[in-house]
Amino acid sequence: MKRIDFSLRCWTVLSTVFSIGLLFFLLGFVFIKAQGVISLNFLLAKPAGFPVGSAGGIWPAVIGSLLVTLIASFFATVLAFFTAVYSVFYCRHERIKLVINLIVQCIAGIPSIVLGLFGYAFLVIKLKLGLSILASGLTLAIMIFPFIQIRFQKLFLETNKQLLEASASLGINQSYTIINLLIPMYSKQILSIITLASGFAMGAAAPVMLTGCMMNAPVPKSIASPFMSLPYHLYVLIGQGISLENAYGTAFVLMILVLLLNLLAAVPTLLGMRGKR
Amino acid sequence: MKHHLILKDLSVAIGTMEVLKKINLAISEYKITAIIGPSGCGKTTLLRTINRLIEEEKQVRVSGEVLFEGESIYQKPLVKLRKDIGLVFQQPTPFPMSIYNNLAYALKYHGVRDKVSLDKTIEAKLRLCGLYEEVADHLTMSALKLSGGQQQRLCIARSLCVGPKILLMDEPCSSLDIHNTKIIEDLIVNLSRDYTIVIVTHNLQQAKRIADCTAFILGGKLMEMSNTEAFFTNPQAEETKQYLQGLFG
Repeated sequence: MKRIDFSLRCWTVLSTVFSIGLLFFLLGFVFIKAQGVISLNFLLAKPAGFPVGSAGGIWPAVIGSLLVTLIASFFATVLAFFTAVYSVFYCRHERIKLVINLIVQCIAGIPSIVLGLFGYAFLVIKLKLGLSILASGLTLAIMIFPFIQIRFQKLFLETNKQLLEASASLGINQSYTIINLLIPMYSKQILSIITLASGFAMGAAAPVMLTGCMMNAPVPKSIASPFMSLPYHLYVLIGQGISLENAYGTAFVLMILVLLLNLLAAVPTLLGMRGKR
Repeated sequence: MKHHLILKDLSVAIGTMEVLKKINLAISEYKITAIIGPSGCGKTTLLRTINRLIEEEKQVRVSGEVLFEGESIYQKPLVKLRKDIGLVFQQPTPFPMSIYNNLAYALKYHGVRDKVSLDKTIEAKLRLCGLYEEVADHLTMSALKLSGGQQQRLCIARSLCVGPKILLMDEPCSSLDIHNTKIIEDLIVNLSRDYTIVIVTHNLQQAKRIADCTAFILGGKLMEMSNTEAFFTNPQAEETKQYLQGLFG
């Protein structure tokens, strides 16, 4: 028994060290490969050269990625929040809850390139949104919706039932309880979940490449404009053999942005820990 | 003496289990009625049926009647009923917000919005519960930082904020020490001048100390109910005698 305990413990430590090591290795690897191109100018300049991307920078892609992520997070959050609230607090039938969960899980299982195709056929063509940030943002929203919904639902399900009953016993209805008790109570967790989901959206190439993302576009003027995004730019740079070095540069910036978002998601929890001490 | 709350042939079943069986009970106005009995006899279910919290659970069947001020509790809008019949839980349930907001939360919902009347009511209810002196300088502090006894008094103050007519209390002292129990018992006696109080307790001494009437429930049936003195000195039912002697419980 002791032996099993020891080896299990070793294995858990090794796995943890390995996964942490992997992150630093990846970051380091990309950084070393990108060393030559990383500069403020690379970040802030427009792509240039022929073929485009072989010189210049990635500024329009940075802005495009941030904007499309913002739109996706907004729509996905609104939808996910109300679906989770309905299934936890309003839905009285176990069967309907089951169906909701099943559908959400199905959406989570849709391959992202299929979502891209749907976005193109339905949003871009049928709804006439055109190749635009809005169409891409909505497509990404579908992709991250299950991610957010499942986490919101788990959060709400874990609510201490007594708090809800205490609120009900004051003659207070459910919507007031949700708005004035639950949302403030969970504000940190809600923000964390949204931020994590935006990181997920920012890194996706497939849903945006058919719905509004371009090889070369200026910084978008409105949500109806086509745009550039970091993951797609990276894909083009490598796929077409335009510039391996710039591809690593783009990858590095994308990784840093996603990492920053993930760190940002941890900030409320860290602050909460300090408060408790 | 007016009866504030009348239970007629009240039966409650959860799933296949009959929790309460044909309870007939009349609760007098501005009195403290204690409900005693061994654990699992249905005391808590009784309280939860009166303010209809029981309906939040699955597969619940309630039959019989509960009359509040002569009117069936099912005639009233749920929110209004629960405003009139408050419930204090066994474990203190402060909301994770400041002490002030714990009380303001309920008041704002029921239409008190201007700062002056909010402040006034909150101070009055905290004073009533003997909490004001202790927390006056810390009203913005999180209610979770209060001690267990203080939290329970805060919860009572919060219930009082919405202006209930009846206060149901589900073993409000069971998680507290003797000192805090004494404070809350004194508070309950004080409150009974303005509120009708029904308190569930497994502590026989507590019922003896504070209750005007005592009811004994066993296995979902009401065994006996009379005024507290008669109940403890001269119990009628055989089961009550045995319970009071500590033969089971």
